[in-house]
Amino acid sequence: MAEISTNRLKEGMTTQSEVVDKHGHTLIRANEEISKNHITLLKMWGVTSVTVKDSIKELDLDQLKAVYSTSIIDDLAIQANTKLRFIPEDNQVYSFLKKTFIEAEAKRSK
Amino acid sequence: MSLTPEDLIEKCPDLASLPDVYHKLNEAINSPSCTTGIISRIVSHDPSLTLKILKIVNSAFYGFPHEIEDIPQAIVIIGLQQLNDLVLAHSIINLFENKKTAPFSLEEFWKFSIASGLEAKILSSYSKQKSNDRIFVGGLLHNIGKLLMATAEPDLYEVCCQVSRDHNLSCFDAETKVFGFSHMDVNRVLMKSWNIPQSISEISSNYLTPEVSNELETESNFILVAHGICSALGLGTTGEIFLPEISDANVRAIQLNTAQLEESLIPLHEQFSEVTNTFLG
Repeated sequence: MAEISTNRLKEGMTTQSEVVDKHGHTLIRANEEISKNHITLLKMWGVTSVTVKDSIKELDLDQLKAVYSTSIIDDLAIQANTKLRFIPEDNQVYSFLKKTFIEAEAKRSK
Repeated sequence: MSLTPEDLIEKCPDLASLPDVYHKLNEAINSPSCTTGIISRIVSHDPSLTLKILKIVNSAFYGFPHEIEDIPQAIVIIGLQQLNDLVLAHSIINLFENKKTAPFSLEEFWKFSIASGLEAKILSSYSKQKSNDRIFVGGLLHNIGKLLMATAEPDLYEVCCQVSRDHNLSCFDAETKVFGFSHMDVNRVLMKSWNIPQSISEISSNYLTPEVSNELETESNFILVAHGICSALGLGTTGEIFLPEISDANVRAIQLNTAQLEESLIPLHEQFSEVTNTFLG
């Protein structure tokens, strides 16, 4: 989880805890996906930051295979596992770096 | 007899010290009678340095809306310490100019280093965790020990990469096996020889073990995470086969989440080419 400023808040992020205004009134419940209206509401009530859950767009290998080729993406997934061998796999930063590596290399292969 | 980091410096005597302008500037900045006029005169004495500083302050690296036309104006806007760090960055890049390195090229090395410094700076701007404003130069120099190893002993550094690949060893372990010390040890010795402020040396020489940096643990974490991202993106290279160990705890320590790491790639891509060309051009 991380506290981020309302200006950096994006639609689709999920609140970690309840968001309240300065009087303690609930503006958004916990575990709620943030919408465009929520962001407007927060700005209107002067809420400057919100705690959101860690999330990144999942690595979608099938989607990448449709754009590049199956063999390239399969090969890059194997390379990524080797390159990231010192990073614990159950960490979010592992998934993020794997996705970053595969996407960057796939783009380069074009 | 085994090799020491000092032996590497001895093998390249022209890399042992930084140009006079950097030391003069440092001395003037630390003097109680320092004025903008004195600093401007020191910098302006070197026309190519002046031109470079103005190019950098007018680039995407700072992104100021108006053109900065001279050094006195630059000092007012970026401050003395930032000016000093830019002179340091320029002096070190120049020092290695035309050196032969292996197994990575000088250009690839600097691309990776500039990208890491830039990414560390971007990440620190996203975080609520307060960090030292020397983070860019710390990131830029975090692998400088490797550059000296690859300049003084290119064949041995090639062996190092081979050992890392063949035995699945981290870069740090392979270096320790082949050289008897790591690039972090070389960083410290080289920065001492250059008389670089302790804070920069600490930030950049402990990035693989941020927990030992004490007060500068946050900065070292920023550099470790930036290193991992730039390495995954393949922005330049320092011959490293595997990424260093990074965990969610390192990301949490700088009060960021993976969504923010992902967001940081946008400004990194936007600024990388221009900033690299400005520093290296």
